[in-house]
Amino acid sequence: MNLKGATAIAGIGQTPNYKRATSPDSEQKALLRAIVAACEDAGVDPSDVDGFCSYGPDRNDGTTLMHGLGLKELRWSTQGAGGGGGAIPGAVGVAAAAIMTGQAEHVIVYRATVERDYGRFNVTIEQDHRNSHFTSSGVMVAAQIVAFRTQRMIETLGVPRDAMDAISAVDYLHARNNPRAMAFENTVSLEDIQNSRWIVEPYRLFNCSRETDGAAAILVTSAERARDLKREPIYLLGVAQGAAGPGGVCWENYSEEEFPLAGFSSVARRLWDSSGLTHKDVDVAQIYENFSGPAVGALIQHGFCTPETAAAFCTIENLRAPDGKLPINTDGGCLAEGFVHGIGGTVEAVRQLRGESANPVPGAKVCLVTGGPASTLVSSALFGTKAAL
Amino acid sequence: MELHEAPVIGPIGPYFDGVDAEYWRALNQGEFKIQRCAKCRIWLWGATWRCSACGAWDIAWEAVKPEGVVYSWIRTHQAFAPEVKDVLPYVSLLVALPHAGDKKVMGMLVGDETGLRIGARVEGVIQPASAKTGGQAVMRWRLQRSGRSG
Repeated sequence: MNLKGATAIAGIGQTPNYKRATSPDSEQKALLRAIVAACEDAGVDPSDVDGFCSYGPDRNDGTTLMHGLGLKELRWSTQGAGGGGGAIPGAVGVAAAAIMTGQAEHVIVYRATVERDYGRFNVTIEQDHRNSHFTSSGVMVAAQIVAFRTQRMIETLGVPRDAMDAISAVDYLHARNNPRAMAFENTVSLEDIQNSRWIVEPYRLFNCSRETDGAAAILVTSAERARDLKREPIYLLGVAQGAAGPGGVCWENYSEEEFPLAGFSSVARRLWDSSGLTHKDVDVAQIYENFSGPAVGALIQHGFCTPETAAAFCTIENLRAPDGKLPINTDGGCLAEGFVHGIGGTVEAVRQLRGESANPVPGAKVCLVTGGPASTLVSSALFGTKAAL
Repeated sequence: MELHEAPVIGPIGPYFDGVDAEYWRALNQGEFKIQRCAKCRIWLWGATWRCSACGAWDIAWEAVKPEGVVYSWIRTHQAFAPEVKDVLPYVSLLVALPHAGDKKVMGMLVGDETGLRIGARVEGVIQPASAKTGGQAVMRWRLQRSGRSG
């Protein structure tokens, strides 16, 4: 069974991004709006949705959604487990597994975060991990855990912090043109980024993602079915999720290969092997940057550069649309578009490949999406137009 | 930050299923212990119920000389919890333990921060149980000074 091109994204739906704790809708209502919008985009009646896969962990599982959507039958209720946002875009692979094996037909991949209902994301997302080894060390949040890894990338691998600051700068550059972005029409410069206040060294304010209220949904179906629907299908070309051992939650003792980077050593290898593509085939990428340090690690581990060449590769000129060598985060990314636990990158991949991005990359056929760098589980996927099959 | 000023966040102690209970019990008795497989003798950290190398279920806790090397560090400036707002900014560490197979443990730096870098040598000191530590003894780390013994 060949995964490449067997399934496709037929519809996307997204609420506006709201500053944290200001959503006019409850989390579940915002999510229902996003799912209905994805169905309308595809031309599928919401009652014909039969599967769900979220990650994170999202609080709204399939059984809580079927009433509001009027589902005829729920056939697939799943969640990418572990690693926070790392399971997006792997969740699309979970949906594809259901569809390719005939266990579901229209699977919604989704995530919603509304702090109005549930409080600070940076606290709720960590509460299951925070044993007393963390809290007795003054370590509470993802920013701190990931900062340990970036400090070693800087100090031991010699990757200058300019590389991660350039990723922040290109995010803000792209957000200027994106009316959906929290930082729409911003004037944040590289200098502003490098002079911003410390949050946790080595991260300054602009190296860190936002927390945003909102919801997004992606409708995944078979390629055959997608071709009968309203929109041009955006095909899933390859996907991988997981973590190299020794790994998982014992992050203090990851291998020296993995610790300073982003957790993609085995995932990137499987992504390229299973898709038959290489990093040279990628026209544009959505690189999840909860913090911009491990985004540099993600680029290194997917083969775009090495620790030695990271500073030369990660420049605004190379990473910007439309003319960079590898335009990334063309919506503004987690830092500047908004952060609904990273699902925005997969939505933007679809927009970009449809030619509807606020920062279009002309002729883009293949888009890489990476999820959750430096989380205990990560995932990557390749999406493409018909021309990429 | 001096040793007696070092805070913890919230109640601390063994993980709910007890996998690391001996770590915390030993600190309260003045000893720094981590896990070691009783069969293949490999050092294990974080705490586990089964040896990841040989599969043995018999996991020992062994006292480790509290000396280490900074594997990585962060300096927190933002008050992510109310307990730390009086000690900002503060340094948290990952310490590699050469006397325990270079296993890395999390911790907090106390004392002078001069010379903090990856590779710097540190020594462990136990902060006695107090109201500040939620009634639990806690391992802290100091940078070793040249010419100082230990």
